[in-house]
Amino acid sequence: MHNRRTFLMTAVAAAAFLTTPAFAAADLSAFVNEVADEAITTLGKAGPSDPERAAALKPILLKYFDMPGMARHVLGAYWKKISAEQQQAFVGQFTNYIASVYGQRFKAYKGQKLEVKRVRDQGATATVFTAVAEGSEDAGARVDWEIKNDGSAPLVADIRVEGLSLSDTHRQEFTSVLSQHNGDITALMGILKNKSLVN
Amino acid sequence: MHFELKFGRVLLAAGTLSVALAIGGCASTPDPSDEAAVQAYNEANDPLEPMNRYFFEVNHFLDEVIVKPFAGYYHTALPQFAQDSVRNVVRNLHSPTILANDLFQGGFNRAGDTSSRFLINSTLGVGGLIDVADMFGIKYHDEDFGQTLGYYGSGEGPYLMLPVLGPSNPRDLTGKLVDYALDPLTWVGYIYNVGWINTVRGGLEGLDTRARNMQAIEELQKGSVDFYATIRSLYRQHRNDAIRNGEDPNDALSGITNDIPADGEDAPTVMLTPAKTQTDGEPQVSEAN
Repeated sequence: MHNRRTFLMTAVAAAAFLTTPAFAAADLSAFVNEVADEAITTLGKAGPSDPERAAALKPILLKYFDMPGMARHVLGAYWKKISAEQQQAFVGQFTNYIASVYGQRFKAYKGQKLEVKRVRDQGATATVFTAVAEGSEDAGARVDWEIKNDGSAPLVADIRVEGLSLSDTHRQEFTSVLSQHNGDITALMGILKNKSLVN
Repeated sequence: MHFELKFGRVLLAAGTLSVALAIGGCASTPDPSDEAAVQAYNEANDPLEPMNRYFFEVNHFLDEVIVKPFAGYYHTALPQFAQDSVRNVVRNLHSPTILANDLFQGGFNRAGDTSSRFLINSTLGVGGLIDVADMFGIKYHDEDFGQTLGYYGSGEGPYLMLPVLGPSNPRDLTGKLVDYALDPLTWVGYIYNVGWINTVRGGLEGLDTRARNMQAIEELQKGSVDFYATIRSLYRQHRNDAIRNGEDPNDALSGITNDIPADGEDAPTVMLTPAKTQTDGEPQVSEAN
């Protein structure tokens, strides 16, 4: 009896320990709000030119986004085919490219606000479901944030807007380009460099 | 008579397409020893890629010379409320097929929404010009037979880029033909010999959609490194999202992998399967705010 109870308590304690995420649900929704707010204020203050916007977005990506994880995902099976140095160089180039492309897209921002609808916490990963708040034409549009939460601080692993995933879409593009170039990563790096407005 | 003519044209188009398929042949399949290329090939699920890319270019050309300029005039010449009216009328005319597909999927609440919207907007909304139902809080939703097939587990099949009609796949193309047959407007056009109604609705719908997405498409194209592959991916993700009616893809992250399977046939595909509804006990859902 006693043994059983000890075992049970140990199991519960172990389970509690294993499933305790670095950040609880409320923190995760605060985290997403923080990322969104910082992106909005920083880009709001940035100059109107595309390079200025890209330069403003880049530090936010480096601070809040899992850029190495996303870079790994978008290359698909090609990731393992390239050297460690090439992987590292690609993470940098990919970050510059994302900052450039999405810095431009933020021009369409007209003061829409995001509301956290719910948080699905799965320990090492989590999804924060948000939607554009009432009061704009896009009201109700869904924005889902995939969060990687296994380190000291949570990081954004992917963003889905109305079911369209940022990293899945880039994965299709990049692997398509790579297969057209016989897997030559330098070809893709060159194309990304041409589209990048920051270094 | 008119319907027969139109049907004949569809058959003819299908015939031409199959000849083109036979001539065009299949995409050059990747070297089986190149696992990364095999995985990319399988994820793309696009064995007819050379032909699809050809029609993509054709469509892109048509868009540049015809659709985009017209959409531009439409966007600048018509005030916003007029553009909204166009969209409202088009949507209202789609109500019967949306309702049928709501019912096919057993979505009785959604079917109720669709019927109420149709009744309210056709009367109070002056023949669908004004979306009064939306003001009452009954939101528009889309549904079609391609989604119904997907709802019942039908696979999408290989990606298809259709001339003029744009991105599709065998499932959605079948859905389009069924919706065409289900649509009362098809039969009105056939019986009263006013088949142009359907064409006008289709044209207006395309024009309105293009005009609304003018800036988004431009930016997408500007940022993309392979616009064809971007559209292919977005179309597929959009359709999967529509089949799930916007429910979250539960296993989106678990579908992501960089592991190269031993057998290329089973290469993991990302986001191709509609997510199952949440299973008990597994992911914990907590309300925020």
